[in-house]
Amino acid sequence: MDEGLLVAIIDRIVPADADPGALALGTDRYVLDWLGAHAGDRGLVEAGLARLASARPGLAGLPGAERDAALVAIEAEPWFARLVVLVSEGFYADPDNGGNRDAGSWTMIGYRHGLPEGPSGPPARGRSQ
Amino acid sequence: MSRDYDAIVVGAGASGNIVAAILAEAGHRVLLLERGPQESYASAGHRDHLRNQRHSAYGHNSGPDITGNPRVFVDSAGHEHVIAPHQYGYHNNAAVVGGGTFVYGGLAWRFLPDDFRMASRYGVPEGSSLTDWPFPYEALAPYYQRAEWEIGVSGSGAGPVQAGPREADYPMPPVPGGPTAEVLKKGAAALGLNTFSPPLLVNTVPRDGRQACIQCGSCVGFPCPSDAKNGSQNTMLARALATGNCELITGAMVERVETDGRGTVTGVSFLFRRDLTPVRRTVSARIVALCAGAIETARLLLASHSRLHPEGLGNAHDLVGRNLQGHYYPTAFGLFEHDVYDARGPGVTIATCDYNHGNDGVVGGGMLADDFVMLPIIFWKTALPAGLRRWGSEAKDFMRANYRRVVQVKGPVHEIPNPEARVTLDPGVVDRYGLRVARLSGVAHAETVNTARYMLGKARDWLAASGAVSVWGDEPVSRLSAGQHQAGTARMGTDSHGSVTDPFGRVWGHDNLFVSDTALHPTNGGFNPVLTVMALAFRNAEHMLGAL
Repeated sequence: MDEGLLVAIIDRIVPADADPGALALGTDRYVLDWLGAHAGDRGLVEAGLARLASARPGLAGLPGAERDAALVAIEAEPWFARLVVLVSEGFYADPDNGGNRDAGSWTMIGYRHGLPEGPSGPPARGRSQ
Repeated sequence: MSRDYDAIVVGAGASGNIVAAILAEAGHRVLLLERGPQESYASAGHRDHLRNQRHSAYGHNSGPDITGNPRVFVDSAGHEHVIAPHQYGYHNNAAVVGGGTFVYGGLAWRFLPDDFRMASRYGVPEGSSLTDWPFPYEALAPYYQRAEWEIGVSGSGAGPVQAGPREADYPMPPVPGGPTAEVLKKGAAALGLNTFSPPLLVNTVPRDGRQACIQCGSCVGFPCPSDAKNGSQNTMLARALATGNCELITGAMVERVETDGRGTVTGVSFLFRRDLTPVRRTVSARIVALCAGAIETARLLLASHSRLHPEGLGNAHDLVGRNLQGHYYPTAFGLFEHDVYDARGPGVTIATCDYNHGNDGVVGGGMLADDFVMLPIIFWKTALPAGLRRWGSEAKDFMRANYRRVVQVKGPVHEIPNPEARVTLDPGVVDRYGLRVARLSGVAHAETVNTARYMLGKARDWLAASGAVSVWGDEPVSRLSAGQHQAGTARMGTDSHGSVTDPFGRVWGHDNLFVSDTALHPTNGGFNPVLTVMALAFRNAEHMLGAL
């Protein structure tokens, strides 16, 4: 899988501005881990990336605005829509999921958890449920 | 004849824990069987925002396990899907001691008097099985009061102007208001709507040795950090176990209700795992009460077929599993020019019952209220306006600027039942124990969709009148409705040919087999149904004492 291109796309799904974007909160790592564990999503995204890389060589190295324009052109494709969901889940979910370091997205939007143990509450038992 | 127990109660949820307590406190030996485990805030309170009972993208925090518990869902186009508990179409309820009450928001409504006589008030729409309840509001009122006081509800006795008479106020003051309530009060005044603080099964003050709500921002869908949510597990089950007469077995999946050669109910068989190996146990009792929720109770009645009851117990007239209903939940969002957000939970602060009845061109209606504090990821998935790009600066800017400026108004639609929406036993798919699973099929009646469309309009109007600069919400579509408010699959009635049980939940033709859960509801009200489930459990359990 073209991880460089993937990270360059994740960077544009939640871009950095005055507040941290996906890369600053570790959402790229969250998505890479997810794809490593979920073959169906990995296959979908891998194939989409491959098509995009052959249609738009060098995309990963372009400035943000140019990457955005390329992504607008393919935004209806299922692999990209799925990637948007995965990135947003990581970015806005609780920090223990791994894609929302220090609950940075919650600080940005103003959500306050109010739990005595911290933003993810008591420890997890594991994710088998 | 010697029996292992006086009573077996299947399901330790909203109703089962109440039935168990009433029977055990009267001195009877009760076996309470629950398919899920017993949990606490410490064991299950982890805030995984992607795996919980409110947002189950990849699983739940209180069951069922996503492996080994499939169902079959037939979609509105007739396509079959074998699905896991967290997937669309499963219509899941928590599998844990307390059931949904372990993780619910705890809205604690009494149905209105007209909710008990829908057919009389509106007539029976074509293609529907709309019917009255077999008794009026007044018959349930004393048991609503028991539920409010013995389980614990906060609220204002003033309540909705449409409410039936009540003998006593709530035992605790209502949840505090907040900025959302202030904004919606303005719109209500402009529209002439009556509003009030919604009643909740949440301690607003310390009570019965447990704390008050600490107003965390992740209430519904999760166990409570201060044990201030009054579920059935920390109230009635505690009472049942304190008697010494009630034995609770968790991890017990009931296979069938057992009957003898004359068709008399003798007990149940259940399966559990010992060192990962399935073990079957058959136990006998003088009465059996099914409190497993509308889908699993119906499945169990159907699965308990025998030579004398080839179509299942209580199913001589092909009614078990039919009339599956729940609540369409039309939801409107309004964007305001200033912050309207209160991070302090639970978040439900204002409601109206002015649209529950008397709406032109509508059969019934529903309650409208604001909602629990939305988790950020739920906001991203459900609250963004149509047409807004879900990625890039546009989405991020919207989340940052407007998470605190959006109010939602929503409410449960009083559904119009339809016999084609139903639970059957799937002929082929089985669970981890080899038991045939529930197959869900059909779609809601057109009048239900009509009401949902109407209520969405009223929700939008309320937000607009409150000063929202833009208002949006998804139009309802035809589909099966059940979900956590699943109901109707073993309806009670006065006529043994038109109902599955008598007005006390006793299955017609079986003097010692009872149902007590939402399956009994002939219609499901325009309200969250749990207080009605609880009131019925108090009423039915009292009646069961007469059979012991």
